Amino acid sequence: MQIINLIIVMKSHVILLILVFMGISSFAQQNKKILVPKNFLIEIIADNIGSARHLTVAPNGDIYVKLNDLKDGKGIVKLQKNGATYTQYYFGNYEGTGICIQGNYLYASSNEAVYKYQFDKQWNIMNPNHPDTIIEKLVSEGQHESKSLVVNNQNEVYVNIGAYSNACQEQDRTPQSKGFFPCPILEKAGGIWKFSSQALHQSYPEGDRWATGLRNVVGLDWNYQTNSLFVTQHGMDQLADNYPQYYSKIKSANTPAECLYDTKLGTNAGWPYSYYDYELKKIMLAPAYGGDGIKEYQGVAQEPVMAFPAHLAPNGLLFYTGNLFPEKYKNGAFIAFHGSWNRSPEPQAGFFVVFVPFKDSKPTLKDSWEIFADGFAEVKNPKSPNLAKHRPCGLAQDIEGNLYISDDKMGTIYKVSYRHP
Amino acid sequence: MTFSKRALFLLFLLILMTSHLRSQTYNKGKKIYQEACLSCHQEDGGGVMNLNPPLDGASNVISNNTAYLIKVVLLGLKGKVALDNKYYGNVMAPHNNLSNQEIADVLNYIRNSWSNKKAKAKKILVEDVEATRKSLP
Repeated sequence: MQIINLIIVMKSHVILLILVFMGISSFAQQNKKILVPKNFLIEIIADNIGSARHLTVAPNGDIYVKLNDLKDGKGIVKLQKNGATYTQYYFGNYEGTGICIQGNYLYASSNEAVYKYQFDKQWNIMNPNHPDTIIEKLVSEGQHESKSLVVNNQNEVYVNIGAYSNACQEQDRTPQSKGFFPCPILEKAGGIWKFSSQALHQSYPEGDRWATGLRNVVGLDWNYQTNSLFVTQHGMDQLADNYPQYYSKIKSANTPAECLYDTKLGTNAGWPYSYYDYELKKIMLAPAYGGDGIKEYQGVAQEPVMAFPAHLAPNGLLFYTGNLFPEKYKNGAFIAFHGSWNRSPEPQAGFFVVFVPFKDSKPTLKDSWEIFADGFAEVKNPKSPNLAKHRPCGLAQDIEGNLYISDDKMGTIYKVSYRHP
Repeated sequence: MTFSKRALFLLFLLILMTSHLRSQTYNKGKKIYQEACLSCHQEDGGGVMNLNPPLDGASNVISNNTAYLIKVVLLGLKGKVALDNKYYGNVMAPHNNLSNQEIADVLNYIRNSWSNKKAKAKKILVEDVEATRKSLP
């Protein structure tokens, strides 16, 4: 009797121990440094993988991440899912930002070209070292060179070609320098170009300029509710540096806004002739074209769908189509903000992921956005972006509805999931 | 006051004056840095990854090739710039509006700030800036 009792006691201890360990292991990965709303979990699934820009998830759960700088000569990381862990494989010999999966193909961009890889039935890439070059010879002049891309289910490839200039001044980033008129950069950059996902070796003659007047877009996503392309533009820098007679340093820290646009064929967002003032909520004449911080722009420029504080660098855009997160997130926009560098003497800001609720294909309210995940910088109000430990860049979603966030500073990949209470 | 005491006192004064002068030049350089350089290269001289190169710890900032540095300030930089195995894309404007004295001061400030202090880089003289400016086409 006593022996049996002892066994029962021992058994219950073992069970208790097992329960304790299970508890530890299931909570150990919850990242306490990043704050997410209640019932959401954020965990690190990979670290130090390189300068992780955009990322995409295959239906089998494998994650593909584009690297801005080559790591051991390679520019794409495959995080192969093995249950709860991931094994890293590297391929692709080019640097860049853009990557996305559509159908049975993976598309990735260098700073000049777009490549296409084919998956087999087990979701392995059949031609990792011999992708098809579908787009090539795009302008790449150093500044704003990343070619973010999205491919929709109608075989359309949308590629950002950033303007290789801050404000199309005759002398870039130079005090008082006037703007070129018309701005010659817009012929081959400063917009979104549309190509076919089915043709090879396309360049400007084969592509259409879908939208123009966009200084530099890093985040973009196709919205299947509106059947249109949404983009996040990085606004002009250095208004106070270049036109101190019109802009105080504080004003320059807070304007122009970073804008979310709903683009259609022919959209013109106004760069470089205009900018969107974050505080006045108006489209203003740019100082390189006679603006003084007061004159409104009289030409054609599309209103943004939403404006965010200046310089926060919206680098990732994702419309959430999953069913895992609560209803309010469905078809709303997540935006990853890389964080600012151009707000001095104010502290730098951003370094977070924002959520914009959408209703009837529009943001629910004109100014309604909320911080969804914060704390990536690990410091409050950093004076310089170098003090930020992590910098959010790309966003992706898997078929279960989990959200993934990349960080190109430390090469960390985060997974955000949700537990129904 | 004996002669040696007087000499010691004068020496002390001299050291005080030179260090005062030196910190005055340093502060002048700092002020130019804050006005003309800080918004891109940052308060900590760390630059911005992918965009603006760091000045703190940068090999070509502490190097003896001061003519190159002066040239960069005068002419600016364009295109993808490689520095210490990393690349930077933003354009740097020419700063030829700064005087020779101001360029010497700001470069000496940069070369004697942050971790660059340890490098004990040689002082850039106004004459060096003048010579480089004249050598440009």
